[in-house]
Parts: sequence; C-alpha cells; structure tokens
Amino acid sequence: MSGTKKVVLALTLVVLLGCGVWAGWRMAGSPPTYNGEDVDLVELYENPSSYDNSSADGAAAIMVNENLEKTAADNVVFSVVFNFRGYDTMGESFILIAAIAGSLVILRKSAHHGKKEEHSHEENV
Amino acid sequence: MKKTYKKTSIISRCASDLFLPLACVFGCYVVLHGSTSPGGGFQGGVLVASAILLVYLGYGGWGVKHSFNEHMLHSSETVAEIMYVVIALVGVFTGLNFCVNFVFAGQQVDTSILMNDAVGYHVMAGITCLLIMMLSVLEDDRDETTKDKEEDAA
Repeated sequence: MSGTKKVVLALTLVVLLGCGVWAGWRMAGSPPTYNGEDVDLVELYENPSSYDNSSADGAAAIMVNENLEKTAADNVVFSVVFNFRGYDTMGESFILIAAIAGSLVILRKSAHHGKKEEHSHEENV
Repeated sequence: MKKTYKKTSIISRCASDLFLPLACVFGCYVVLHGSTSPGGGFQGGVLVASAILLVYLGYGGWGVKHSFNEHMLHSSETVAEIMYVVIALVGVFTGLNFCVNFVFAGQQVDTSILMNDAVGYHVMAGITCLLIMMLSVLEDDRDETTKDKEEDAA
C-alpha cells in the first residue's frame, strides 16, 4: 500500500469517526422521543380493538397516526419499509449484492478447478 | 445429431411447462401490488426467481444454461440498485428527505411504488443468479462422477 493511499484511508476513517461522534453527541443532548409512559402492554394484549393509542408518544405514533399526510401511502407497512426506513431497505439490497458477489467468486473458483482437472486428464492420455 | 436437452420424464416436463408462466405471472402480481397488499418487492422477486427451478426440473442443466445469461443478470442487479438510489435521491434534490414522496403530493400514488419495483427487479435478478451458480455446481459434480465411473469401467 503506497503512502498516499494510507493518507486517504486515514482521512476517510477520521471523517467517518468524527461524524459518528458528533451525531452521538447531538443525540445525547436532544430530548428522548419515547419514554413509554402512556403504553399499557397488558391492556393492548387483552383488548387490542379498544386500545386507546391517541396519547401514545414517539416515532411509532407518528408512523401510525400521520401516515397519510406524510407519505400518501395507504399501506402502513409499505410506507414504513420504503419511506420511513428507506435507508434500511437500501442497505438490505447492498447486503444481497455483496452476498451474491461473494458466492460468485467462491463457486467460480471450483468451476475453474474442474476445467484444470479436465486438461490434466487430457494431457495424461 | 444435434445436442439437445437430456431426456427428463415427460411428467416433470409437462408440469414445468404448465407452471412456469403461472409462477412468473404470480410473482409479477405480488411485486406490482406490493403497495396495497401483503408481500412486496422481495417476496415477489423470490417467487419469480423460483421459476428457474421449474426450468431445471423440466429441461435439466442444458436448458438452464441456454435460456439464462448469468452476467446480464448480475449487472441488471446493479442497475436495479442504482434505480433505487436515484429514485430515492430525487427527493433530496427537491428539498425534501431521502425516500420521500415528491411527485404526486397529496394523492394515493406514491413514488415508493417505483422503489418497490426496483427492489423486486433486484431480488429477481440476484436470486436467479444465485440459483444458476448452485445448479451449475450440481451439474459439475454429476459430470465428474460419471467421468470417474467411466474411468473405473475403462
């Protein structure tokens, strides 16, 4: 690895680390979005149809109550997967690409081995 | 004589001919209706990709090798990922958030439907590529074993 490559790598890592630390510091200073005060799990489990969710707090209440105004999608699961958690879906597809590229590398090597064996066999004959 | 597919039993060939279009159409239905019904891009893509197993059952490794292009599938996977990122990034360039609905504001139509289709295309190409690789490994093993048997016989 050459010197410039090392410098670029170190700079990238420092920038990423700085962004992470700054985001963590900001998030630690901000007020909590969910403290679970108004959630009664026993009540929700026993009478799910008559559960009052108007006073619930946090991101889950925003997703359920203001879904139509925010995303104009009539399916809450769909809007969570592709709007609220779009980054998540993108990372999921990148993981799929990485997995398929890795298995491509491994399985192609075995195919080459088979061809080599064929060649050696012909030479022996 | 021209080399054709290895003779499989007529029952599996007829069954694969019958169920192949059904599997493809049902998978595309699940992808396209992902916004209003259970399912979505990933599940529908896997349903379409499972059609390659029907091809393998009916026509063997020869049929799979001659009807699918593995390199094109692997690159179209990347194309689908780029489609997803571009559609999601246009929301940023219009001054809104990432992955936000920007075209049909206030209507029941969403741009995340396009992202859903991109994910369906991506999964379809990716899982098909994976299954082709696994089936090719199976075929290689079978060839080697038959060769070994021939050598033993010789």
